[in-house]
Amino acid sequence: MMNNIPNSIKSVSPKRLPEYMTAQQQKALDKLEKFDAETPDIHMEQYREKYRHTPVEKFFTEDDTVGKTSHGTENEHPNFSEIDAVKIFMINGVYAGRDQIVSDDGYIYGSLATAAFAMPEIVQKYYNQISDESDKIALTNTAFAHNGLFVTMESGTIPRKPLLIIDITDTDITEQERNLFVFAKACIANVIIYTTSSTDVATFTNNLSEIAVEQDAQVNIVRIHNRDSLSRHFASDCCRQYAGSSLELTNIIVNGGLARQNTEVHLSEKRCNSNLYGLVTAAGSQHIDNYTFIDHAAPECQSNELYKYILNDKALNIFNGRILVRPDAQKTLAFQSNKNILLSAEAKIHTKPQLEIYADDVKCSHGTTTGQLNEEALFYMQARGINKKTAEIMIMTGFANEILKKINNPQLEDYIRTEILKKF
Amino acid sequence: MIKITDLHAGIGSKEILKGINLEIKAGEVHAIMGPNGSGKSTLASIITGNSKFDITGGSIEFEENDLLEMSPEDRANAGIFLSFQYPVEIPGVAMSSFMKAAFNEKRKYNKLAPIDSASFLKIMREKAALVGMDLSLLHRPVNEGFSGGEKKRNEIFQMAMLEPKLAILDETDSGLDIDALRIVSEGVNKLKSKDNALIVITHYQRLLDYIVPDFVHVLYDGRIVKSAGRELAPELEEKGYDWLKH
Repeated sequence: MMNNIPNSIKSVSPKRLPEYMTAQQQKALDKLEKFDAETPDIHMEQYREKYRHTPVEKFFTEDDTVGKTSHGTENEHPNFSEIDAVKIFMINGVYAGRDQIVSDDGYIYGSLATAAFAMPEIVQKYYNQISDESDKIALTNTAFAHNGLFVTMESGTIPRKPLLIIDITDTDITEQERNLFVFAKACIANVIIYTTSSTDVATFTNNLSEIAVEQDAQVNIVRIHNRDSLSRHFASDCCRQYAGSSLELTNIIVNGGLARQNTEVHLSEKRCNSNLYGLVTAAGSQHIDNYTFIDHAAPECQSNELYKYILNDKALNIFNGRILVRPDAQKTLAFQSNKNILLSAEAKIHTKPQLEIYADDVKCSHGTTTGQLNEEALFYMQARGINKKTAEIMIMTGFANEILKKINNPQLEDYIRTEILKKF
Repeated sequence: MIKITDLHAGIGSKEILKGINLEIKAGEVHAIMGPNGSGKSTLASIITGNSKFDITGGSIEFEENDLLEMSPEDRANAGIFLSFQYPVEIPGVAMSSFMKAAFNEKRKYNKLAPIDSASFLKIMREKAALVGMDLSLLHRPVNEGFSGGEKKRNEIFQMAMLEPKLAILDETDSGLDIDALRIVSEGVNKLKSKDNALIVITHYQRLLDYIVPDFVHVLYDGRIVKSAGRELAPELEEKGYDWLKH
């Protein structure tokens, strides 16, 4: 199945890590061991609520309800060789390149372990500073992840190409991948992260990426999750933005058995701009859970969030979007929207927008809609001679397009659109 | 072309059409007038194939086919067109892709190969010019953010593209200002021929000054209570419907 991945790529064994990292790992392990006993009741309640529909335990045990039906045919991959990008392969959570730091088109990257020694001043400054210490899954990753990817850029860098990270899992051994992205001042970056798996292996992954967007940087990240229905996947993107920066983070879940994606953005300094987009297409008994948290901690920031779901069969899906506007975050603009189409009577969506506002001079809104395919639109198209099935596909594609067009690559966009339509 | 015989229809137990008889021949223009709620739009919807309505009796024959047995898409491809009173917005679907899909479905129905993009664009430009439609609308999602006038003009543009045999204009004049009304009517008149027919549903004589009917029918409480020549329209304008109710 992995026929378009270079042969030279092989996984490398875990590296030793510097003391400043192992100390953090030990600290996380200690916290994890005492988590149930020492977490105050009120926090424990919040934590349970955060994982209400997808209890963490579900990830660590075999669950009979998950992924027993495989959807689509063979897991195919887009033809990566045709995509003009700086490419990085991650195999089973491990950087599949040489043991050195590479610089290509402005992107500076290597394995996190390599970077920990080669560029300690950056890694030490950001490593485990954004990740959520009150989250069991994040702590587990910090405690056990040995390696992953490190990407940075120098101030003011404007690469010509996007960075394409192809993250392949083809083993049933638990994978804990830890990534660190540091986008320096005023750089402009386009990153595409494509996670996939082989068809016949029940993969289990717990990935965590810390993403720092420094002053005036403009970062666009598109995450595409396209794994087999046997996969169980947990991922956290923990982002921190500094003054005047913009971040657009698009999270497209094409396929997966069980997937929980945490997307957390901390707007720490003035005038940050943050756009979060999401698209989920789920069928069979797929269980997809998105938790987003936008933390408005500084004044004059703007956030905008749009998540869309198309659900079929017995898919059970969750959108839990929390926006916190802290007392100092005056002049905040925060908008959130969640729109869902249910194609079957048994598909389910739990949607929970949460807006907590502690500042008085702000503009915030949230809204959610859930419905079936628009019957009036269907009839309108049929009345123009378009057959019902084609009309349905056109309406669904139209619904998905708003998010799909965020993929800054036409080949990949077309590929994903085709993959999505295969499901319905 | 179309022959409606003793048509009864409604929604659930509510009867809306109570025995409609109407025959239209190629080359004719029929106006259907009548007060709100008399069943004009229901009749248009049923001819087009909207499954919202239950047919409880009667028949519709279209070019010797049993129309009521045909799917909405087959009816459209066989040559029936409805200019919707309330055109529907379709988010994310560009006008041009929508129109191309419809255009090619009709070609497929007539056993023709799909049209190439260059020829299709050329036809779209010609037809847009015919109804005075702004070309930029073709790149926007279907009817989304269109003004009331643009939506109606878009309906007539689609009619021009699909060249139906029987077109039904359901209150196409509402929402159009006087200049737009003239342009749209001129478009419709250019599309008229001895081979196609037109049903114009309207409240006002104004539209009928531009699209001149051969026959005028008054629909009241689910029945056609009066049929006459074009001279009936101004008479209705003057006297209202009350004198026909008994």
